[in-house]
Amino acid sequence: MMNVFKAKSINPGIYIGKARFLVSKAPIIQHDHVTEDEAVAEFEHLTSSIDVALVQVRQILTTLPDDGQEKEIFETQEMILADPDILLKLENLVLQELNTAPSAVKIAFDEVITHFEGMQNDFFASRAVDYKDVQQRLLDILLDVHSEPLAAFQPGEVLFCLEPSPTLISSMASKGIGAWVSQKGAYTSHAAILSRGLNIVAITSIAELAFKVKDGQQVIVDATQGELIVNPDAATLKHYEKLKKAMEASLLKDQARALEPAITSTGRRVRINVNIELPEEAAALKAMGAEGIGLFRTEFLYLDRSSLPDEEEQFQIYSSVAKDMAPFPVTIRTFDLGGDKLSHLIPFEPEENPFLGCRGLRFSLFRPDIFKIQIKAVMRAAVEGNLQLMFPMVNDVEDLLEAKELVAECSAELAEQGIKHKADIPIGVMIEIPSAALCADILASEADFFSIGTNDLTQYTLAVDRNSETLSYKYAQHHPSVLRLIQMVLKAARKAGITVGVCGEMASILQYVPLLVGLGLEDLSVQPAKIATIKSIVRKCDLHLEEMVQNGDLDHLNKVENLIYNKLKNYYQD
Amino acid sequence: MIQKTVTVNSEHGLHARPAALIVKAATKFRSEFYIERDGVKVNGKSIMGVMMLAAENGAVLTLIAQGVDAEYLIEEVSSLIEGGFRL
Repeated sequence: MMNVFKAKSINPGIYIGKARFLVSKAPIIQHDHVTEDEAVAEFEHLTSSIDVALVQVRQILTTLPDDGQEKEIFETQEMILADPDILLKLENLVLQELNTAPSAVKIAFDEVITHFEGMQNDFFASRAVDYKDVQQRLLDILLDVHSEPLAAFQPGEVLFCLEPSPTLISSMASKGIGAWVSQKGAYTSHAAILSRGLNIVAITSIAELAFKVKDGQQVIVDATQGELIVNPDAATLKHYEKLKKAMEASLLKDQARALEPAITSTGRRVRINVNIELPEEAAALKAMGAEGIGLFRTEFLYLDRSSLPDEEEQFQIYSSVAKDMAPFPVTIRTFDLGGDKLSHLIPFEPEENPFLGCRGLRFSLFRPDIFKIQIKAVMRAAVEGNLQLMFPMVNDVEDLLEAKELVAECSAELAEQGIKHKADIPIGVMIEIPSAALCADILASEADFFSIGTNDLTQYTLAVDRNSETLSYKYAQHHPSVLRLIQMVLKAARKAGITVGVCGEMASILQYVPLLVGLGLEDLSVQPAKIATIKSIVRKCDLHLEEMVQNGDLDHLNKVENLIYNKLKNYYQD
Repeated sequence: MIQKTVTVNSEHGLHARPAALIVKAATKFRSEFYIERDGVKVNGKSIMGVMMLAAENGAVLTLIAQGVDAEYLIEEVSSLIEGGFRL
């Protein structure tokens, strides 16, 4: 019987295949017991497995760079394996309670994991993962399982799991597994970001997944609608096969010209850049047709870790991305979070309204000591490639001048130490606060470029929380007020002779692309997987479109919607 | 038995690295070593135990050691914690 389950899309697309669960070995462990005579041998088996695990971990440690985050992770694992309390617990479970070795490992570690997961402080709670890893490693050794997690998978299958890890996503790509479905997972997790970068179709948030699907069943992952279809009937299958073929054909057509520039039929060139969140994404971008990185978010450097990144670490990352992308420009957006996200690293008073609080450039100016480390790293790396600096959450020209002052200070300090750096690195402003858009003409005299962050600009202009489900119908990035601000920014930038782009989500939503091109944007920064399609939309844009947008009624929301969804439909639909 | 009360003095509390440093330091000594916080007492030579305290910056801990080198153990571990784990 066919079943349809609602899900959340992580990366849109359609994928048809057979389901296979990532075997978490834990459930297959039978809670068997040994006899008193067997117990001693069983415990010896367990301690020798711990020794094997220690050898493995120490082996991994020799391959890791000093001072890295990974080193810390495996050093912790090494200490867990040598922990006297854990050993005592295991000994008791086998010798006294006569559990088998795998069963003892399961019971002992599950207890610790549950304890950590129940902690109030997220930072400590997240350490449960160390114990999960060690538990899995021991079980793999005890049960003699091959450590390649995808060993059982065939190309074309769909991976089902509780929550995928980033490592798993990279091995999926090399194994030819093009889709995953998970019970838990966030749109912003590293695994999700990598999936979008590698174009792996993905959906999440289906409760009790293991009860809904069995290995080997045929499934359709419709990550465009956000649905999982199990055991599709013949008609549904046929419909989706057709849909998938049509999507692939049009993508193929677009991809054939992905490396060519996107020029409208009126001769306007629109540069297609990409947004990235992790340095690993950079390597493949040029081959996908990216003409630069319009937004390199640097928040990953500060999250999920126990110490602030130093200048050298940041320098290495920025220069490797610069080299991957050269000669194209890479825009590094300085750290854009509030102290709330950093409370594990820096003491910070909780704020009542973090979205209106000390975040983005405000936080950077509040803690220039942290900010200057990042600026120096970017300025040094700019010698190795085409880097530019961009500040988020700029209120006004005073903010910008204060930040530029710090840039000059960094340059002077580097020069004093005789360290090579690019003193005149281009400096841009992310326009995402209405005040910055309204005073764009003033800002333009001090900035080298603008990039419009439409997500926050919409949220702050309409005073609608973009994460609110109740108000989601009110969160319209095409609202007349937002479009007016975009037009003001464009005008100010043109007058000052600086470039202006859009790096917000709006540029990656296909329906909005003709509108943005029609408004006169010359730089769009989009999700990597959308480059080819957006370039082909730009190529369709013509004089008729420009006239429709320039002369159209952009004063009323319903008229804007009519323009986008009816009049401009032919530009973004085949 | 020797006891000493110390206050955690590191920005992110006793997370993985500081916990590891405490365990490594304590393990060099022969004495038994416990850390107590708000009535919860754990083995100070166990990384699991120390991390389970979930001690944030400012948390007050009692270090308890018993054995021939208890005094030296307490001195080394307490200076580590009070010094903010700077080596």
